[in-house]
Amino acid sequence: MSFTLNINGNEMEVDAAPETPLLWALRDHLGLTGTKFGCGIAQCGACTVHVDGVATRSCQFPVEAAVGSEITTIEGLDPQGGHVLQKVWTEMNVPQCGYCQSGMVMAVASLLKDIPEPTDADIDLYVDNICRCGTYPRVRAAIHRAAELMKA
Amino acid sequence: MKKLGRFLGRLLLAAAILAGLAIWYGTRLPGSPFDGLEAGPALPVETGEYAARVSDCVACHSTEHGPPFAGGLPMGTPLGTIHATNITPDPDYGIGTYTLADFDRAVRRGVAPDGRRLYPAMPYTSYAKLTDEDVAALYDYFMNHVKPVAQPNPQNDIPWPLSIRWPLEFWNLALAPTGTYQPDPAQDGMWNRGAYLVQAGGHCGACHTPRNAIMAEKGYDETAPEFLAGALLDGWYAPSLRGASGNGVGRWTEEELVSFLKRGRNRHAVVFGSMMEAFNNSTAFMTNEDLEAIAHYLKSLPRAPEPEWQYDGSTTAALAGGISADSRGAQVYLQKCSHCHGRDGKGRGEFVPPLAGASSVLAGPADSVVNITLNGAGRVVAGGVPDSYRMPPYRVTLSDRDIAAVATFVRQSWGNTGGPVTSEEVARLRAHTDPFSDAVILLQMR
Amino acid sequence: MTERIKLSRRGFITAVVGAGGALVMGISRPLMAATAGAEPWETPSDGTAFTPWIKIDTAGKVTVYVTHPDIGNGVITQSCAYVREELECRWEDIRAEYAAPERDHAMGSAYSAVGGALAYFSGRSTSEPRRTAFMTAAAGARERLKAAAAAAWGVDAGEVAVAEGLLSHAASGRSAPFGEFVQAASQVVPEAEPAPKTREQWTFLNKVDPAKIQIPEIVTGKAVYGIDVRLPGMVYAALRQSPVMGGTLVSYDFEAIRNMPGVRAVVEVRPTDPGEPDRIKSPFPMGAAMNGSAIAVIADHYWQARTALDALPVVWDDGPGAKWKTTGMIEEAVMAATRQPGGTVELSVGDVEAEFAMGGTILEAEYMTPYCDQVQMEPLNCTVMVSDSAAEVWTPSQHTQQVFALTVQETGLAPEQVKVHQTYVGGGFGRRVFGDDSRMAVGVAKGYKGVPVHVIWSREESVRQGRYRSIMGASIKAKLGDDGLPVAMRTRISGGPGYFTMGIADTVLPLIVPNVQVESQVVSDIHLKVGPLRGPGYNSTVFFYESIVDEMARAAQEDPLDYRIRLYDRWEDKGWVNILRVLKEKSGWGQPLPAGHARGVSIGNWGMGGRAHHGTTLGAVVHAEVTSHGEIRVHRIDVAFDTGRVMNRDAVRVQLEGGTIFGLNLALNEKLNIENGRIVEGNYDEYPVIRMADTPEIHIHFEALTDHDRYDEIGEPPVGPVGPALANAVFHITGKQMRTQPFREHDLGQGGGV
Ligand code: FES
Ligand code: FES
Repeated sequence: MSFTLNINGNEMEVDAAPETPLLWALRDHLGLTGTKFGCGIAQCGACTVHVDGVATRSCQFPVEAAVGSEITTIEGLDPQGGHVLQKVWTEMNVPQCGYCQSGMVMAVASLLKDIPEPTDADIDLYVDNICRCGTYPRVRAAIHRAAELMKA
Repeated sequence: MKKLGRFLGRLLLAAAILAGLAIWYGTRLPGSPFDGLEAGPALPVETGEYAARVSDCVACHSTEHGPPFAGGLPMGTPLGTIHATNITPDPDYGIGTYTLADFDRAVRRGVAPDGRRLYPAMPYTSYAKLTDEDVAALYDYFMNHVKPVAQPNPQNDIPWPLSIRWPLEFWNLALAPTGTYQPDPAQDGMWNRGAYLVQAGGHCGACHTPRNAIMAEKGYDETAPEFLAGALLDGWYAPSLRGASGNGVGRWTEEELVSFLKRGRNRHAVVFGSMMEAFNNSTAFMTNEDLEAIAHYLKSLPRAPEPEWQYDGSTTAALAGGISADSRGAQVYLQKCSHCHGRDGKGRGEFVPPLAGASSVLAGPADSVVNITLNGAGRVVAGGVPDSYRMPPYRVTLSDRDIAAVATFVRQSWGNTGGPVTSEEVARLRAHTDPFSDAVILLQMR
Repeated sequence: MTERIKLSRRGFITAVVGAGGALVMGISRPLMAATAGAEPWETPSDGTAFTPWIKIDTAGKVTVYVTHPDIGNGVITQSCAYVREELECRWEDIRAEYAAPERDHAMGSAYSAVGGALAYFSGRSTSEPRRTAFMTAAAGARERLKAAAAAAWGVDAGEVAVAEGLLSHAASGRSAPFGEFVQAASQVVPEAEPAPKTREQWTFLNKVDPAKIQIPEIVTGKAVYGIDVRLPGMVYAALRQSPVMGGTLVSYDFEAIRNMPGVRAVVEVRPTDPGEPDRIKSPFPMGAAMNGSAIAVIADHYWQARTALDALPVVWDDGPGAKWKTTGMIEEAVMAATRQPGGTVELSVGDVEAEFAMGGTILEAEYMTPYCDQVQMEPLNCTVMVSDSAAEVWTPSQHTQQVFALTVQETGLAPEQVKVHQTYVGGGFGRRVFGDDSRMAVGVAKGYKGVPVHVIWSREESVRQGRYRSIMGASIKAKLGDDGLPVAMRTRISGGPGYFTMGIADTVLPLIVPNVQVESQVVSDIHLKVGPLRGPGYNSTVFFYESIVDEMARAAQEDPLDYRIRLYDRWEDKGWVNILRVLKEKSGWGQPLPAGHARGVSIGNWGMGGRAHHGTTLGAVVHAEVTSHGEIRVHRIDVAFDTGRVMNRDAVRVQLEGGTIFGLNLALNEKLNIENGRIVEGNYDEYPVIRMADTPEIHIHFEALTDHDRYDEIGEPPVGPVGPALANAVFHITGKQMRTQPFREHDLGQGGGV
């Protein structure tokens, strides 16, 4: 079946079974490999994208249900790498292997949109992604730094 | 069917009280319309195979790795373990020596050829309504199309005196229907076909009809007000199937019911728990016509009194920020559940079911909500294809208190009207249940 | 007749159309490029290769050939930093490219001759041979550039200065960028190669702590991990191996899935007799990379392949491993072995039995750590194209040389016909060292020749077909002298085949007890395969030893930290005591805590191998709480360490933070269970991993560095001591000594479930 999706501001066609997870439509069908596969069961957050502005784990999101929504992937956050999170992440040397980080950044971007100055408790709640390398202390510090920069 | 095993404890106890009464009565063979008759000419394999799918024989009489119908599935009861038996045509260990009448007595009356009474984990109380034609088709299938397997039946370990079977006959006498299904002339053919499938082979009441003190179903057809009115059995709450209620399954259309039984899903729900087993092995194989008849019949049942459910969006807004620090349920929902079921509780199309307004969530008993949170779901297999949206088990990553908190949250959000859940309830289910496997388990019949 | 066509949107992959019409894929631009903030170079212009380590092109851009896969530890950046130090180029002009193993082979082991097998990640970027190789090459390039400029300008080479990619001559006021002289420089033949700068002369190393150069690619989604490789004509494969390791495929029914969407084929993979490759040397024994019996479905897209694989009826013969019905059976077998004498003697000094016979304060305890998986975030995957005359592999490996060797072996091709491309790696922790994942992909691609086959293991497959940290058990008996310190200690350990004994006989504790006996046994019929997992051996043995040290301190009625200072003062490397003192001061040791809270301490050394002043010594103080529901909460961890010196402080800090969290998770959460020979857990739902909310405050203290010239490993050291330090803290709260991991399985309170 063919579906038209709105991804990063562009209309894109995906020819796939309706239950195909959005993750695989993005990665395989559209070549947007920035969104990562980690678990496939919505546990790790590596596949986080925004669906109508809300951080969403795309591995448990059927492509059928994505029709009519605005989807943003890491590639669409700011392709020039100019998003404040992208800058802060680089400056503060946040990623280790980096595999979880596009999902991490997308989860944080959504959090900061809803809660511009998150507390540590907010961060615990909304950034529940898994990082096996253990970048959590850095991520937390980087979120606070980004919140400061965005305020300024 | 193994889910039925648990109530045997109480049942046997009740039966044992009658132990002083005449044993001869409890071991005599009831009559069968097939007495003295030979089985007819062999039928095409499809005929009996379909009847066996409708009656879901395979779910209990096979194990995941064993040959079809060779039995061995253990059913834990508080008094000990019983095992489903070998029903392949093996002459020594199976039913190879059964006559059609013997077979009939076992299926419709719960009586083995030697007069021993079967435990009512075998749903002969429903199968009693099978037509002679379907019984003959089943017999033909098992005798001519199932491979004999020389696999001995494992010993049941129910201790004496509870292992004595004859008192069961008195339970049968008092409670078990004995007549085949009689069509209601006031209804059309579709309705009657649906009623027959639901009451006889489908044995829907085994899970969905509440039971009385000695574990008999409170009614076997639509004339009983509690027939299919929702029941708790072995850790799962099978919701009310009574047609026109404004709640739960009552809001489903006939088409949605058909989709649920055919594809395992519709926009309201996805099969899980015991229903997933019934779906994977039985309803998924039924014809659309039969499923439409079932839906038609179910929708004709008079409504049960239930409050109407109305979606309330305030929960959704709260989850986007502003959850109070002491709302543990909301926190757990956000971290563990919202990624699939959505902050709006509406799920993802037909593939991830909504929690807002879900019959399993609105039910009085919270067992299903707690059980699936602890143990997750197995793989739903529709049209031979396992689905991609399985509920994972949370028994390792969430404590009893967290599960109680999130279950309470889910039961009281988006307009849901369920009651609170305690961590003791979770602890009880944790101790008595096991997680589902993520492996694809499809029981083959051939 | 070749034509280069740009096929990829991002332009890094080109296809070469060969004379015979065959499509030969190559990567003309490195998968990994870009320095901080810069766009990846689109078209590398021709340049001059100064040794196999560096290339400088006519635009002055510098390519550094990195031999170690960067698994998140920053080796790419460190390699570039060495070059930057000597070459004095602009940091922005450096990019990195992985050194190809086929190039190593073609050039007579140009890379692997230095410091051992090519690209073995744990050979750490800071090792002296690597550092010297990079720095010598860069210094040589610099001097050649200076000589070339001097010749062109007619001045003395000694007067040519170099800074930020610019050559200049102050007196004449002339200056030129590197690019101008790279051609000429390549013709310069110096009388002698310059020596690299001494540490005192460094201006970049140790002064500037650059962040990883690949971060801009990571945070824009452009970084290409193994799983992101996309090639023209590529097909996808989903894979399943015998659920019981060592089992074999009996049958499958392709007809059942033949008509499912996108399905192309089913390929069966049979185990290859490992043997040893005859044409090239492999870094590890080939048996380590051996395949199991497997079945793969090949389809147009991954989800199609995976769904069809799930729907495919497959019959397996479980093999002998199925006899292990439960985890408990394995645990009992391992512990039973530790109760027997007669194992391999790893160390024997004095006479422990005579000491025990004399009586006194004797402690006995049994400890156990379970099977664990690396659960690195990027599931195993590998892309392979095999034809009759060539094989090409794209892999997120931890050991490219191993992949090269096994590809040659598995395909039967000549080494000259094989190419291996290293991609970014989404975590390794030891899982991607042996190459069984790559070998499996080669096996699948052999069955579907002519197009690239992208093989992805599902998370469940990755977890259930691991190369695990083995179960390990230890029975320890110790006798304390009148001063409360041990005078005799007997340790018997056991585990599954291949378990790591590292750290059981060659760490400090057995070396400072006057009478010591260390024995090891193997329960040889356990079928589960094992491999390295961040600090192999060490991550169990520190738990055993440091737990018994706690029990000793208790028997001696002494503060566990003070006791350790006294105990480890027996060792000649005073780094140990130094670390404990730093921790005592920095962690708030001894200061009051709320009810239900306590601190615990522990120390270990990764890599010392029985020698003083080797490896990295690391101590941790854990401040934990046990709630009224019996749940463990960790609030703060203080870490002090001695690895001699550090090269990039920030990189070290990051690794120590990550390792601390890793060690905490091992101790608290991780365990694989076995049922009828199969691994039960498959995904993060059943195999819990610490998340943001569970992460304690972590304080890394650099004060215990001794400035000894080691620059030793830093990723593994924290993984050992965190667990026993936590157990120590929990004992002080609850009075319960947790002698087995994971701690979440211990009942520490009144109900409350897990
Ligand atoms: S891959 Fe989607 S949450 Fe892990
Ligand atoms: S940086 Fe490696 S998993 Fe997060």
